[in-house]
Amino acid sequence: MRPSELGVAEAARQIEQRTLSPVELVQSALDRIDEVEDRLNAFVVVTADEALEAARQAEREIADGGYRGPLHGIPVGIKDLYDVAGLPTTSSSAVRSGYLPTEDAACVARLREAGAVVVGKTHTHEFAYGVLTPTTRNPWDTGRVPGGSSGGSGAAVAAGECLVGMGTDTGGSIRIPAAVCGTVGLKPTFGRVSRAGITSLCWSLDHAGPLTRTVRDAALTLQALAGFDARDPGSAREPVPDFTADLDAGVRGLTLGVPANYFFDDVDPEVESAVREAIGVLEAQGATLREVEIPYADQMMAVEFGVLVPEASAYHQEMLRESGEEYTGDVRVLLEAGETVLATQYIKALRVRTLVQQAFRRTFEGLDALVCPTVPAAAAEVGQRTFTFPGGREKAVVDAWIGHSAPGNVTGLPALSVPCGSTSAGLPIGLQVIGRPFDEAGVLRVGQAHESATDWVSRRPPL
Amino acid sequence: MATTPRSPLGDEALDQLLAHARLDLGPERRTAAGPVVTMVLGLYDSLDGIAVGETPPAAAFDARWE
Repeated sequence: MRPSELGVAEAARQIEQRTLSPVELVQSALDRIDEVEDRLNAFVVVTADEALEAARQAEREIADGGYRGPLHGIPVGIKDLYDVAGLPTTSSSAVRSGYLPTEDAACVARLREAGAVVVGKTHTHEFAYGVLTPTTRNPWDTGRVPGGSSGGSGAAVAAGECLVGMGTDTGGSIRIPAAVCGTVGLKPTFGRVSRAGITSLCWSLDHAGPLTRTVRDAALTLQALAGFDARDPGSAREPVPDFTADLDAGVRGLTLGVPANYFFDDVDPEVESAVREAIGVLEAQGATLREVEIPYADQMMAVEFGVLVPEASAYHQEMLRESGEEYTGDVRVLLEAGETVLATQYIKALRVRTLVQQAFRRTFEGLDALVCPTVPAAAAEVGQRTFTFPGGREKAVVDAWIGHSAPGNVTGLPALSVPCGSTSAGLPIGLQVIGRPFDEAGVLRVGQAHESATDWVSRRPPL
Repeated sequence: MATTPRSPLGDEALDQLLAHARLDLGPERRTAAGPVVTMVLGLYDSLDGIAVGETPPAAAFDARWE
């Protein structure tokens, strides 16, 4: 196994024991990038020279007894919505050409403090306003999309180009690519991780978080990222626990909610089968299952878009007037339409959002987490616009995918996607675990219980 | 994006909305925007049936329950 195929935890163990050099690990990731990028196009820019210099620095520090922890020397890809000092933040858009930040986003700074090595910036759907990431391909089938909007990070981690990919999640943009690329994706609780220095899509729905190979890797990365930051108005003054402390505690004694409505209503049969099998794996390990009704299910998408559309248009208003012709068509027309929304309509969506949050609180009484499909259908083909579900019902790809992930954004609850199966075409399937506020440790514990009982995370794409 | 039934906006209604938004679109952009505006407004229509009573907006959003 080449070093770049390792997970963070195993690479860190070897680095700490000095049986693996950060230079060797980063070079391995760069070699893999050279090998597959012509087919994937996951990266906007690769910073090979800077990464190797940072790896040499890490090697010197460790040799001098300055080991910083499990991210020291680990190659990471940064979604190109995050500012990285000295590198353009393009947001995969012509609109932002020429924007060169002088400071790192808060997350990037925290990753660097932990010793992580930035190997490049990964593609996003333009300004994160979509779920396809058209510039990038899915490593399991390059005729398919990698999901989005953090599609570059999902593809890069799945293909072994980096061990951690940073993403953002406004309607599912970490969990969707994680599910369809076969990686772990963690959307922390709203406020847990700072968004300072990240191009906004929607202030009240945006979350930052990691995509990784394993649940433990997600926990280790979150440990470096989490914590209050006064530069982000949404940042929470919440104590940061040790996210790995109870990771292997198992699910015996936990009660998991299984949705009786909504999440299994329009689902590909192969996805439903894999997810129900995954839930059975958790039950076999001692979890108690309880069927629950998902509140406001029919209004979830209206609330998500009712908040997102006007906030996105407000953020882009000046740029749209100055550089409208530089946006891609699908994003431009959404931004234009969003300008016609009345304040009262936006406020209504925010008020219903409060009702949804209150209803989820009641639903969670006696529950430790909800378990359900991350997305109802695996990776779409490039150019595919709709999925057809049992009974002949058609849904747009964007509606189908966001419909399952949006509840996590509308409520702000922590949500994790872990690989749990494969379609007959060999495409990954994801299990979603949604937890109580600021209980990332809980969702990680459930994900770890599933991961340790199966071997889905060990699969690699045929690339 | 999810769609809900709503009659397409007439030219006059669309012009009024765009003028209110101070959005000056050429004919081609206006043609593209019309159906999307209709779709977005349809989403808000679907929230009309929900009684919110005294529920405040989650504007200063805080995910905590306690």
